[in-house]
Order: sequence, then C-alpha cells, then structure tokens
Amino acid sequence: MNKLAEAYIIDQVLAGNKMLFSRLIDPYNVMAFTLAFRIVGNREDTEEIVQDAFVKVYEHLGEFRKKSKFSTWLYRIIYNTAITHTRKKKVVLQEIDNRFCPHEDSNPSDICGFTEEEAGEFVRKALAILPEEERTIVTLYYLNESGIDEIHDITGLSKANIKVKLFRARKKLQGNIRQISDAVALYSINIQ
Amino acid sequence: MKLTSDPSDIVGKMIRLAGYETPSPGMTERIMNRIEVATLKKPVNFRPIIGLRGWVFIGVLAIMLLILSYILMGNNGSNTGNSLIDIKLLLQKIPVFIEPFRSTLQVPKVLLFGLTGLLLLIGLDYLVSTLKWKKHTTNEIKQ
Repeated sequence: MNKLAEAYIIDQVLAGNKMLFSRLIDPYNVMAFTLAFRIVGNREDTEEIVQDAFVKVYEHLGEFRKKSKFSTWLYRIIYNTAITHTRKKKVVLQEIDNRFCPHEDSNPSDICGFTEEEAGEFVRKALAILPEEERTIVTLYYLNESGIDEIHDITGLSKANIKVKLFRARKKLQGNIRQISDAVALYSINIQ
Repeated sequence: MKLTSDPSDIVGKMIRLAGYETPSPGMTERIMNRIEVATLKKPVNFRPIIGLRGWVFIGVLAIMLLILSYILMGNNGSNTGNSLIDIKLLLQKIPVFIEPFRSTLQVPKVLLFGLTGLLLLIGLDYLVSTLKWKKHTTNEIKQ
C-alpha cells in the first residue's frame, strides 16, 4: 500500500469509517505477529498482544504524524506492548530442544543436512534463545529489511546500541549454525 | 544452501529461512471485534456547559442575592419601604422567614427571578447534554 492510499484510509478511519481500519492493518498483520512472537515466544500470548496493540493503534490513530511511516509507528506500538507484556509476565524463553536431530531421510543438499523446513524450525529455536532485543533487531533488520534508523524509531534503542546488539546477535546465531554443522557431522559419523 | 564466509549473509539467509510467523486465520476479524467492543464500552465524557466550580459560584451568588434582597428589600413582595438600618423591621421579618408557611409569607420577586434563572440554567445544561448524547449514539449505530 502506498503512502497516499494509507494516508487516505487513515483520514477515513479518523472520520468515523471504522471498517476501513481492517484494510489499513491487513498488510502489516504478519510482520506485526512475527515481531511480537519473536519477543514473546508463544503463540497464545502473541495473539493477545497483537490484538491489544492493534486496538491501541486504532484508539491513538489521531496521534499518528504522517511524517513517519505508518508501519514504523505500528511496529513501535507492537514492540512496546510485547516488551511490557514480557516484563510483566517474565515469560520463560523457549529453550532449544536438544533432542532435535535430523532424520535419516533428510535431503543432504539442504542446509547443514536439514530439509529447509527443519532448518527453519531450528533457526526459530535458535532465535528464541537470543535476548529479546537481539531477536527483535535481527528480525527487523533481516526480515522487515529495516535500516538502523527505523529500528531506532521502533525500539527506542540508541543507534550505537542497535549496531552492537546486531553484531552480537549475528555472532551468536553464527555460533549456533556452527554447532548444528558439528552436530550433523558427528551424527553422520555415528550412523556410519 | 551452503555456508558462506560472510557471517551477515548467513544470518540473513537463516532469518529469512525461519520466515514469518503466521497468525491464526481470522485475526483481523478478531481485532475488528475487539475494536468494536472497546469503542462501545468506552465511557463518553461530556463536559457540562457549566462545570462544578460554575455551579458552586452560581449557588453562592444566589444565596448572597437572596440574603441581600431580604435585607435590603424585605419580605413583603414589594421592593419599597425597607432598609438595612431599620433593625426593628428586620427583627419583625425574621419569624416570617423562619416560619415560611404562615399565611403572611410573600415571596420576594428577586427570589422568584433567581429560582427561575437557576431552573433555566439547569434545564439548558440537561437539554444540551441530552442532545449531544443522542448525536453520539446515532453516529455509533450508523458506523
């Protein structure tokens, strides 16, 4: 959705056309959900948080300044709602399931011996053990393709801090990837 | 997909591989329902034309006017022939004021005007608030 269409819909919603709000949020549903999920770590709470956040977005739509991107403002609300929730509930982060191992019928051409689906699942688990801010930053940076400035607008963290956290997250994830490679190699040797 | 030497590239590929988390179907509908409920529940705070301070001020003013009118103009229905200095007359009036249901009681014009004015103000406040409320609820139903 382009910025003009977005601005028009926002004006319409503010004028009382409540139903158009669904068109405004539809394009951002999945990313909003992903962002919240990366912070919270479980689907049930994420659903609740995303719904709460969207209600907040609706209630405060009049405060949105059209100078910035709507998505940035929206993700900031999602981020803040999720962070507040995790701090309140002190959600225990999902730990990597150590029993996870590749199946014998895995396609060897896939990453680290896993099928794409399995590798994706592993990465999700590997992401889950990163601190919540690092998870958020890598998700925004790689999945939403947000720049450092936009991540700063969404999270409120300083740009220097974002760069540091991004660097750390990359290193940690890289380490996890290496661990998988080693585990796969070990597993292969044991099988033989 | 093979591991490359560029760590950021690996991480990028990994994150993209993990992909998006898809919400359960019908999330937008649920959000819209929540919004519907939230907007209906929201209490409507109408600010009255005359606030609490205003009413207190009017009340104090009315009481002062009442007392002044009683002292200056008496309690006989006419506005002539009495004054603050006339203490004897003032003392004669007091029982009438204390026992208002005696047949001798005559309501001063100032009091009548004052009460009518107050009633008009209350009525106006109520009327405007009701109209505003009706307009709001009509808009809610239309939406």
